[in-house]
This record gives sequence, C-alpha cells and structure tokens, in this order.
Amino acid sequence: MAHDEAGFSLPELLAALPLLLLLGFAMLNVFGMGSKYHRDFLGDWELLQQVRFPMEEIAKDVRYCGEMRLERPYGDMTVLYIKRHYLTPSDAASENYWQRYKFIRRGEEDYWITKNDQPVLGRTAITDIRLNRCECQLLADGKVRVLISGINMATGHSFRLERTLYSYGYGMEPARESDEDG
Amino acid sequence: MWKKLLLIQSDGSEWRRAETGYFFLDVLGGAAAAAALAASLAYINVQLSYMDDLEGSITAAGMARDQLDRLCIEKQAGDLGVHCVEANGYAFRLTSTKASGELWDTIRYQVEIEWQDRRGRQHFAIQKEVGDGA
Repeated sequence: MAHDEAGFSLPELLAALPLLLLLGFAMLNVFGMGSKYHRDFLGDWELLQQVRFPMEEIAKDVRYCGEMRLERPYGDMTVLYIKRHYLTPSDAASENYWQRYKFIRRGEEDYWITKNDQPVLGRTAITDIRLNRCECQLLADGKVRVLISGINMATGHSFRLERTLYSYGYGMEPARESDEDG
Repeated sequence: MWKKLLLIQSDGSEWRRAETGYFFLDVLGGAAAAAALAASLAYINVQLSYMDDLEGSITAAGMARDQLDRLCIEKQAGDLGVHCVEANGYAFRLTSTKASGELWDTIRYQVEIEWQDRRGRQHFAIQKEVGDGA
C-alpha cells in the first residue's frame, strides 16, 4: 500500500527545528559580527577625522600666518594665537585679528579643541572618540610643533599625528597705512 | 537513519515520497545564502584593510609635507638623504634630495616617501622649488 507523503512527520520536525535554530543563531551571530565590524569601521574613520581635521586646519593657518604666540591662561588650557596674514594693523581691534586655537583639557586624557571659540570637532553618536593628547610647542618664529592623538574607546584603536608646522611668512611685513590708502 | 524508519509502515508497506524536483533549487538557495555570507565577510575585510591603509596614507602625507617644509625653510644639509621614521604602526622611509631648479637661482627639493601596507609597497614624491637664499 502506498501513501502520498504530505506535510512533515514529527521526527522530521524534531530534526529540522534544532537545525533551523542552529542556522538562525549562526546567521544572527554573523549579522551581529558584521554590524560590529561596520560600527568599528565607522568609529575608526571618525577617529581619523577627529585627529586629522584640526591638524590640517592649524597647518593651513600656520602656513599663511604672519606671527604666532602661545599662551597658557590656565593650567588646563593652551591657546595658540595665529595672526592672519591679510589683516592690517587697523584691523587689530577686530576679534578675528588673531586666530585662536584653544586646546582645553577637560579630564584625564580628554581634550577639546576650539577655533575662535567655535568647536573644531563635532560629536559623534557612533562611538566614543577621545583626544587623549594635545600638545603645542612654539619652537621658533614661524615654527610650531603640534601633537594630536586620539583613541576610539570602543576598540582601543589609537591614531596620532605629530607635525612641525612652518609659516612661509606671507604678510610678515606689517601692511603700511599708505598701502591701505593706495 | 531516522529517514529510513519513516518509510516503514506498521502493515509493512512503504510510503511513496511525493517531493520531486526541489533539490536543485534548494542547493541554489543554499549557495546563494553562502555567497551572500562570503560577500559580507569579504566586504568587512576590505573595509578594515581600507581603514588601515588610509591611516598609513594620512600619516605619510603629513610626514612628507613636513619634511619638504623643513628642507625649503631651514635648508639644512643634514635633512637630506634617507631617514626612517615609525608612526601609527608603519615604517616610513623618507628620501630627500636637492637639485637645481628650472629657474635661475632656485633649488628644487624633493621628498619621496615609501611604506608597506596591506596592498603592497606604497610610495609618492612631492617637490618644490625655492630661491636658494644665498
């Protein structure tokens, strides 16, 4: 006597369900792993930007500056003043006569950088990025050493840039009043 | 083994299985799922490699520009030649050279930087002409 087989028998289900669970669990794990790697990737990308961007911004301003000075008004703050090359002495009253980079130490291995009182860096919700070292040292006229180092707290991955920045001295000679009149 | 048991009925007769023609599609589906998984893992690997390589490139770019600035402004003979520097897990080799510029009374400085990353040996060179300031 022959029977058409329809549906699943109990042993088939008993065998298939654990396999299905196992497969589902494995797929979820793979998906979770992929998601974590992607988040880490974005976090490390963010870390690079958080370190690179202030360095590039400072390098650009230093390259075309006429004068620099460094002050430490408080123990936890270093201010790098960079005189804009295109401003004349008559602009000295302007608050933008000097570019002001503030390296503010907010806690243990946690720094923040502002430019003219505006934050240079943004906050990210992807992961916890911290600048764990920010140092600035004036070596000579038109020569400054800047170190910025950051860490992605989620992965422990760190990235550090250390550069000696030079001014090419454009605008080192103060503009004369007669030049402005002319 | 469990499948064999299903085929035996209490009266001794056998079941005739009704499923036909699905096996190839099942294999195809399985292969598609495996390919998707492999592609995801490969994509992750590419992303992570790219990030590592990007770190090397950014570090190299800053280092070469610093070296060129140093040569052009400080003009120290000791900065010429080969220098090896390690940063962000990479070993960089900087080769600085000096030659006469195209214009009269100018010097051309060149910095070539090399480093090894996951994709292989990378290098680039930048150069600049400045007055010799003599």
